[in-house]
Amino acid sequence: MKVALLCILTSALALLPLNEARAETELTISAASSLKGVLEEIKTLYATKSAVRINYNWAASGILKTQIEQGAPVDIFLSASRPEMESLENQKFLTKGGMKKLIKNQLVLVQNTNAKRRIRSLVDLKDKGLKKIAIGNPLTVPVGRYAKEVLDYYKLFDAVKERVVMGESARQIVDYTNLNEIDAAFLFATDILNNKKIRLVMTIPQGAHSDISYYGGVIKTTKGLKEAEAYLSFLEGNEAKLIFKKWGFLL
Amino acid sequence: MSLSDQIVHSLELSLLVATLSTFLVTLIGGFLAYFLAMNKFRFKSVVEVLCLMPLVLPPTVIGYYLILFFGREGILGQYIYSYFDFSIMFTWYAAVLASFVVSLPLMIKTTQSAIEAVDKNLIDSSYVLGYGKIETALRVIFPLAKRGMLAGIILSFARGLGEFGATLMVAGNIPGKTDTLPLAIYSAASSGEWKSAHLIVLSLTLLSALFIFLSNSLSRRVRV
Repeated sequence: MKVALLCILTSALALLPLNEARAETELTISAASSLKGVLEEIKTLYATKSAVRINYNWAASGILKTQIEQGAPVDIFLSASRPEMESLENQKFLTKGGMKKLIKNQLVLVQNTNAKRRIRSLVDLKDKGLKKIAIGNPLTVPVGRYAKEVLDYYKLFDAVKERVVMGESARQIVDYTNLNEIDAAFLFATDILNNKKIRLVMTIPQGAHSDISYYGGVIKTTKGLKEAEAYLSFLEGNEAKLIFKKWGFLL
Repeated sequence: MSLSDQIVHSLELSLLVATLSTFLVTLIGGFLAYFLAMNKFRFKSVVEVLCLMPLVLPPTVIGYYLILFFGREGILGQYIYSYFDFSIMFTWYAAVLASFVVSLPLMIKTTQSAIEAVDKNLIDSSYVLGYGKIETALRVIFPLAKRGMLAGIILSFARGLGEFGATLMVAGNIPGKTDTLPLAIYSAASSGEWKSAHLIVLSLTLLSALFIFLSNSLSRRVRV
């Protein structure tokens, strides 16, 4: 027992200096949860090109924005919508480079493949047989804000508002849909790519919601300005674009 | 909904959820504690471990298990859903369920030790004098163990009132429906609405302080 404890302590001590040495070449990236799959792949690719260690912090863009406003030690912010990034820019949280438009996405209406009631269009959402319709929380989750815009645009919100379930991130809504816990959901097109458990009902016309663009920016308090800028311009480069395209994002 | 309406709603919901879950915990936890304290059987330690697991598991793991059991495609939930066309997920009943599961071990643990501390001679005398098992339990054992039980009930209520992780997973965070005080704080803080966050935090703090005060004065009055 004592030996085991000693081993744990010494190995813990051995790890400490290592972490400190790496601290200089580490980047913390707060990224919208809808970017999870694609950014993990980009991380693997980037690791072959740079010694910088990437740590992702996933959440809804609105939650990440609030964290940064409260002084979270973040180097790069990747937002799934413009307002969050714009607000940080206006509050002077970004470096001189400012905010960069990266990629685009589309909003879709989806159901679990085994959904009890299959729907064909937005109007079918009025059907009271659909008991739970998931959208992101419009206050913090961009995919939810776009969904709310769509429901307002087609004057459907009052008809569905009693049945709306609000998710805390795009990822969470994907999980709920995978589990068939909800009857219909609004998600990004990329969230359901290659997901056999989720069925696309329809792609929402672009005019019904504001432009779905992803923005990136370097946070002023970063200790690795050069590394952060390098990573951000890598995201804008052709190699990253290919991966974004593969994951269903539009350029 | 105005800010004060929202706080009142969350407050009412939290009290309702904590009260209901405490009621269930008292009944079921009390019975389980009695059963565990009075009986010796094979695999008793396994049952005890199972009963205490929610105390050490992270609430998110409990939430995950609850989805596994009670979700629409869950082990139990699929039958409920196909027969009654009802799923507990994303309703405030799910918040009660989550609070119940996380506070059950607190009730069992304190009550079981209290019952085990009751003088065996008194229990035997009760049997000798003609009381049956149920009468002995209700008239001798539980009254003698009431301090421990009371502590369990108070702890369970407090735990239920503050339940967050499992609730978020199974009840969602639906404004006006399942937003208990802890969830309302989370929403307000994550969307940067500090004014409402401050107010809700303040009301929960006051509520908790009041609660400790009440339980202290109550336990002073209950003498064995």
